Amino acid sequence: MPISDYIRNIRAKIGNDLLLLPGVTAVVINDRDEVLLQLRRDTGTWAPPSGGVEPGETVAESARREVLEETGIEIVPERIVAVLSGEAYNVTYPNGDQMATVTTVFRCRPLPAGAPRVNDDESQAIRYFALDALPQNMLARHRVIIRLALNGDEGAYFNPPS
Amino acid sequence: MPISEYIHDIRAKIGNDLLILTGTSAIVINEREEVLLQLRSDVDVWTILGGYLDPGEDVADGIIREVREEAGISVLPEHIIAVLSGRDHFHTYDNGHQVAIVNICFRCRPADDRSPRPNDDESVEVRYFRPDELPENTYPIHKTLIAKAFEHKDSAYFRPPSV
Repeated sequence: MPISDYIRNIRAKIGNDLLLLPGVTAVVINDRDEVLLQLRRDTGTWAPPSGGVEPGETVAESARREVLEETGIEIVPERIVAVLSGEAYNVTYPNGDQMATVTTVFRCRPLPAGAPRVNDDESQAIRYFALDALPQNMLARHRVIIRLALNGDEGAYFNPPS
Repeated sequence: MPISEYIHDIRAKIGNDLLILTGTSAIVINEREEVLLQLRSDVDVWTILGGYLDPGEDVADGIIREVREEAGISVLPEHIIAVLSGRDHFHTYDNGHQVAIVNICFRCRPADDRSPRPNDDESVEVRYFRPDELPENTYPIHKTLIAKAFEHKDSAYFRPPSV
């Protein structure tokens, strides 16, 4: 994800201060039961494509844009799998920037045209993995959202009230 | 951090600039299949309940807090009805502050026997309405969300991307 104008402009004024950012994550599953993952440069882990919601975008538009930017393929967002937030989703980046994210997770299907490829400097590799052969170096939360995307429940998951 | 503190601190640095915020909304439906609305004090409109999420707050905790603050009752969030954002969800406040909102809308049911009442200065009246007797002065988008809540579908609505 190129740093958006929104974040660049606001960071110029707030520095490292905490910034609330709604985001999206796209669990893209093809018709061979494979899931699209990117090997992220920042964390060194395999993860579904994700990014921030731009002003004026619907969350589905954000998911489509992020996947296109990062992997070069077009997708169709099919359903909302989860909305995730809370202290566990507050992050501090290596440069000190603090972010509180609220993430809408979509299950998506790829459109036939085009094979996924590394399309920006955020990823070292992009490929499909069989759902029963996911890579070892994944964050637990990403395994969880892939599992949520696969279960038959049509409802969107959210953390139960504390 | 309460959202008010977050907004206060960040507005001191960004002025009126566009700020993206996450909101939560509640369609509270009681056992008589009536929906809870509040008559707002700032505009003469009956609205569904809700507000901005605090940084680091879970969405379900956020909507429970908002309904308690506004109507004095506890609710149980049951389903996410919709996640809404985009061009229809920009707002400029009278003071010039610009916001773009990503709104997480829940269907909820009351979790206690208390009667709803105005609980802060945001509302002048809070009461249940039958879905076929909604007041005239209600936002169309809220009527749409209420209709979606009564469909009792499990899937959460989102607007598909324009092609």
